[in-house]
Amino acid sequence: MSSEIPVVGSVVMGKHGAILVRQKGGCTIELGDLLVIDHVDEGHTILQVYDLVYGSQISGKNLELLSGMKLEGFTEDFGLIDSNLRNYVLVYVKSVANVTKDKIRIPKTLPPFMSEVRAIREEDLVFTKPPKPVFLGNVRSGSKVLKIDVHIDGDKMFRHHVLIPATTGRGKSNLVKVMLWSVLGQAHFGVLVLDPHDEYYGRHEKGLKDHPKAKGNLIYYSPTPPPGGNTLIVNLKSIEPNHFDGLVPYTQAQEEAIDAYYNRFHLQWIENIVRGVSIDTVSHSTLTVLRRKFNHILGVYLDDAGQIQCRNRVFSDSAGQHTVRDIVASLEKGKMVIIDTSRLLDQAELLIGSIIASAIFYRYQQYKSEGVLEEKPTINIVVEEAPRVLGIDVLESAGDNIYSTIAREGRKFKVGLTAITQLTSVIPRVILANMNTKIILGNELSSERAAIISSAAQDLSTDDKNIASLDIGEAIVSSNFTKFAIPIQIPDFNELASQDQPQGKKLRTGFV
Amino acid sequence: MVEVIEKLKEKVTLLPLGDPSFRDPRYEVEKLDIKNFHPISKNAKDVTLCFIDGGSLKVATAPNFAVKLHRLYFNLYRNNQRQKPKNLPQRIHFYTICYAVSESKGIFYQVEFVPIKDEWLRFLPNPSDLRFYSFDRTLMSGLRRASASRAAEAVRAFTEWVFASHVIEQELSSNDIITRDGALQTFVTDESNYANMAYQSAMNKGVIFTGLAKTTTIFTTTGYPLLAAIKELAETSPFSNTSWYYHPIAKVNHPEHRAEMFAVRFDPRSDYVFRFEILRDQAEKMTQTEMEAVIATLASNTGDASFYGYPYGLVDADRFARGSDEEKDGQEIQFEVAASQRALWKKLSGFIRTTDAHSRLNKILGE
Amino acid sequence: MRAFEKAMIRCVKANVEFIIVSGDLFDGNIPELQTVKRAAEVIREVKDQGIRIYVTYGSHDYSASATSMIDVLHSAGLFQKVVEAESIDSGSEERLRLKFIKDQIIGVKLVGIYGRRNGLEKDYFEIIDRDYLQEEAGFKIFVFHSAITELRPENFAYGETIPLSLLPKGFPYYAGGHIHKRLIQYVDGYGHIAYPGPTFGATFTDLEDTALGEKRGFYIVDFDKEVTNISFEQIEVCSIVYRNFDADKKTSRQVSESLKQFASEVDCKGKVVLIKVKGQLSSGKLSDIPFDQIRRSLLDAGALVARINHSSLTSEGIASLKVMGETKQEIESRLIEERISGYKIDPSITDPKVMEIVSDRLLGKGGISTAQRLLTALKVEQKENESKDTFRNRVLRDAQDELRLGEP
Repeated sequence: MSSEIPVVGSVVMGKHGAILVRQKGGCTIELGDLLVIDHVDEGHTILQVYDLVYGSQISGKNLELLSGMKLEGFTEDFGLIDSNLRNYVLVYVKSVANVTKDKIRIPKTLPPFMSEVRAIREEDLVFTKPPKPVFLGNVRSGSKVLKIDVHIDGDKMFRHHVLIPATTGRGKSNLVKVMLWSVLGQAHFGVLVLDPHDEYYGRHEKGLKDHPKAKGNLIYYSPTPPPGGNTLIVNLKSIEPNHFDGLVPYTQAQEEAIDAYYNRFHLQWIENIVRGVSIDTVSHSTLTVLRRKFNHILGVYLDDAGQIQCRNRVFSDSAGQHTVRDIVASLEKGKMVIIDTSRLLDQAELLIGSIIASAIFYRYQQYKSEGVLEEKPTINIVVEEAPRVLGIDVLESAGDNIYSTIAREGRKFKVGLTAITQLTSVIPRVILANMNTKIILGNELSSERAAIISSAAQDLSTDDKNIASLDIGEAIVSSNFTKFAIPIQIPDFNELASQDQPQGKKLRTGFV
Repeated sequence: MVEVIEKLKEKVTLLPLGDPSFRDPRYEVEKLDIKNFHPISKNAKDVTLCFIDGGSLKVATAPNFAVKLHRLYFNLYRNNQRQKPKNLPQRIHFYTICYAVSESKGIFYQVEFVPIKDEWLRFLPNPSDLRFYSFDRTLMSGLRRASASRAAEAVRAFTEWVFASHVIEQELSSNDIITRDGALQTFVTDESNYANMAYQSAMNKGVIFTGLAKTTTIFTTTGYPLLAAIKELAETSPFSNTSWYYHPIAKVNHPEHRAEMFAVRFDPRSDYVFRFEILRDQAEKMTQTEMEAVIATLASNTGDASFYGYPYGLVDADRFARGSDEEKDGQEIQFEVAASQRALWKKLSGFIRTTDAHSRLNKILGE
Repeated sequence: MRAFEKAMIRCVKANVEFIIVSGDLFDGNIPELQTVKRAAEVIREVKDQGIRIYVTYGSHDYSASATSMIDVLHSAGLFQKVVEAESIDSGSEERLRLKFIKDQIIGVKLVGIYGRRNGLEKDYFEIIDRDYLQEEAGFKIFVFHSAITELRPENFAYGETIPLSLLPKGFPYYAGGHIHKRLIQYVDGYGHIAYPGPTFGATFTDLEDTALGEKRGFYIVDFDKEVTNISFEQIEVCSIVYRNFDADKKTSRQVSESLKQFASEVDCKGKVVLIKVKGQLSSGKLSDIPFDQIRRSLLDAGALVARINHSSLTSEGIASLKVMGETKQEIESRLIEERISGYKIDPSITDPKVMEIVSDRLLGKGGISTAQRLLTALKVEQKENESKDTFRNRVLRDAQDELRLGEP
């Protein structure tokens, strides 16, 4: 043990997964801290703190009495000699990694009895940057941040789905922005972001638009785009009946009516319903209901002049014929597409996502059958409030939708989801099990923590307190593609964006 | 039970206090007097306090041999801050083997040491000097022959004195105070030789040698326990709610008991009164103020909440010197295994079985 | 030319105040002089009637490095270019302030931005001072030559487009060009965005669309303080005969026979004849089919124009094209894109300035644009009365211009 590195504790007892370390007097060990035991020969073991308890050579009753005497003014001090020796903190740790040279392995033995334990240094953990890296943050030991970047192979991560569970105000948006910032400009991934709060582009504040490679790689769709953004207009001909699957419940009569209109009018089926064009096999009342439904969901109606109008200006019978194709083409070229759905109702937002996701998914299915899938970039779709499409209730009542299909099968076709949710417990276990990377932010609900822990890639059974105590911007990355669950600190996006600005003078555009 | 209490009340509690009573005429008694109570000041000296204690674990005993694991431990405190020893190991462990030897005059017990570390041998008495007659009255219990185990236990006391000498010489300075657990009185043949060596080391170094006895069997003239009588007297004195020391109790001229005796209540929060002794040779040369300073210094170490009124150093020393039952069982098992590996267990257990039926019974009954 | 003449005559008859040509008046910056002469005559006649003409460059008739015929005619006073701009430094940002041209008679304000090849005008759109344009009062018209992303028609499958958000808001009328299909759309927050489409058509696809029912013509717009009426004036120049041949699973001989039969039977006098051949031959080669001969026979039979599109025809044994497209331009574009996407800078180049130039002009989007422009520059035909040397030098000069070798 180097004399330079201070010892913070010593192993006193325990078992695998629950080792007890006595904290040295004067030191402070935090929940979530990473500690190190150096091996005699080579390498070291990394431990993580998951619980803290008081230890004392004095019985609990006596301690309570002493405390009471001091509080009530009967004595000036607690009257304890060798206080540090007799009262101390015991730290519960688990071994998370054995590091030798540059290999990291899962530990299978206990460290020697009475091993000295020290704080972690940056040299103790060297991660090899993967070939298609997605930056998540820096390694965190308790509340201390180490200068060790944490990257995950984006190809694997995005393909095998990501779950970001967190309650409000824990830094979900910041995390997603940081991830997307690192991905923007890398042609290996196409990312579709359904943005119901219009928070990722950076319309009025720092956002992804400020990335040095945003031009040409970041495409923004909004019903009211800023200059340079694309207007979100989806032509009604882009919508097929199956796009509503699992999102909008229909009665049997309505389903049959839709089939009839589709068979008769093909891609103009919605227009003809909205126009009220009757066909023999569909009753007037069913047609009326469908017109009302599309009015409500899409905001589409027929005005007095017989023109199809759209309340939210997003759906059109004339414009937007290429929108879906453009978005898919952009994703296939490894670009990032953000769709501002903040002005849309849930169903409309999900429908647009469904249209695009279906297009991408089926196209990539075709690529696979043609044998060219591996030449294509991995596509990931970022969905907020994921229970709207992945929740048990939704799936049971309305059936599978494209999102749940992607969640179950997408990885075979290089199409993945990033699902952001406050409620993990409502997502079916079979879907959770497919989400091989979980970036866990703070969560004060114990039932939610239990759901997260039970589906994590590593054994997080002892991390309940750790998760409950995660502060804003702190997270635990549990992934099939990391050797252990890595505690991270996600940098503030605004600071990150400010650092990454291109140096030097901007080129001027010459008008000739 | 009520009847029992009533009889005790009559025969025990209603006695007058009396005066200290010693059978040996070499104790010149001082009558109990309220005037002999003195306050304990807060003026502790800035010196090192050393507390020393020993403990033992039975490993194997038989009529003809005894094996014990002995521990000797000391600590150092200055202004109630634990100090690190400079030269000596703070705790030493060693096996004491006491075995019977038949000689013309009878059965004697011979001693050998097996320290856990060879280098600790130097802290132990020369075993060739340790030889006990099995009918030594200072070892016997009644008229019965002293056991090898008793002899081994006596040897521990000798080793404490010897270790104390080393501690005084290598860890303490002039005016420091060393306190042993127990009175400055020797009971076993030749024990005083070792005690005197320790006293001499202390006098040479200027280290004040003291002892604190948790228990005492001194009575008063009326059959009252002396310390209880002094304590009861204190309650009628101005010191009923404070710490105090009581002195003098008696002038001691006994060669086996080179002590100036005090009764002390170190802490007003404590119900306990202890017998405290300072080496007589040193106490005779001290003024009252100097004696009080010694008591005050020791008192400063008695404020720990785990045991008010008893020096924390001795609590600590006791903890590290004594052995637990689990440890004892472990030692017994190791002995049996080692003996078995050398095909000796059958013979040795034959010896042990002649006297261990009682402890076997205890185990069966769960005691 | 006939279509242009008809359109001008119609405008005079309708007594319009002014005419806007949103680019591509000619199909090159230095067109055939015969064409220019006739166009100038027509324009002069219209101008003599008191009708003003406002023009912007299009992607074909503009040249960054050389003078365009548009400039010549503008200098001759035949019409007014509506593109005038100055660069303004607004804090840390560069802005392009387009200047309004005010019609002296009725006070309408026109402002525009021209088209460039491969949508390069997008860079200008990004920096125009939209606030300045939006704040201008009065009836104003925005003239431009670009496809708008959100509005482009279904079969508009290639080329750069401009997102709607880059247009300045609040103009009652946006006179668009570049898209070869008729389109009129009122967009909230903007106004009427109109693409009249070509008056006749330049490409096979244009003519094919016409044959399939796409109307060709122009818009007449009535306005006061607002646009009150937009009517489409259809122009018919000649008939188009269009025939689609399915060559799937047929032999080259069978296809040849079918085409020859058609050519001999069709009444093509004074008409445009379009033939499209698609599918995969079961045997024989493409070169077995005498396309050129058949085309000539149609022309000999009196067809005004005879075109045969066989870009979607393949034969067995030839590796199928990885790029799909229906027009030559589409296929060219995608082939170039695919090829260039594989290019990387030679690692032996370390000078950052050189790396920047190579990266900008030969790789990625810049590379694609350079290749396309070069291809266009190299496939011009020798003009009448132009000597070989002059022709060679012209081609060389145009090619060098496209490579921007003279630029720093």
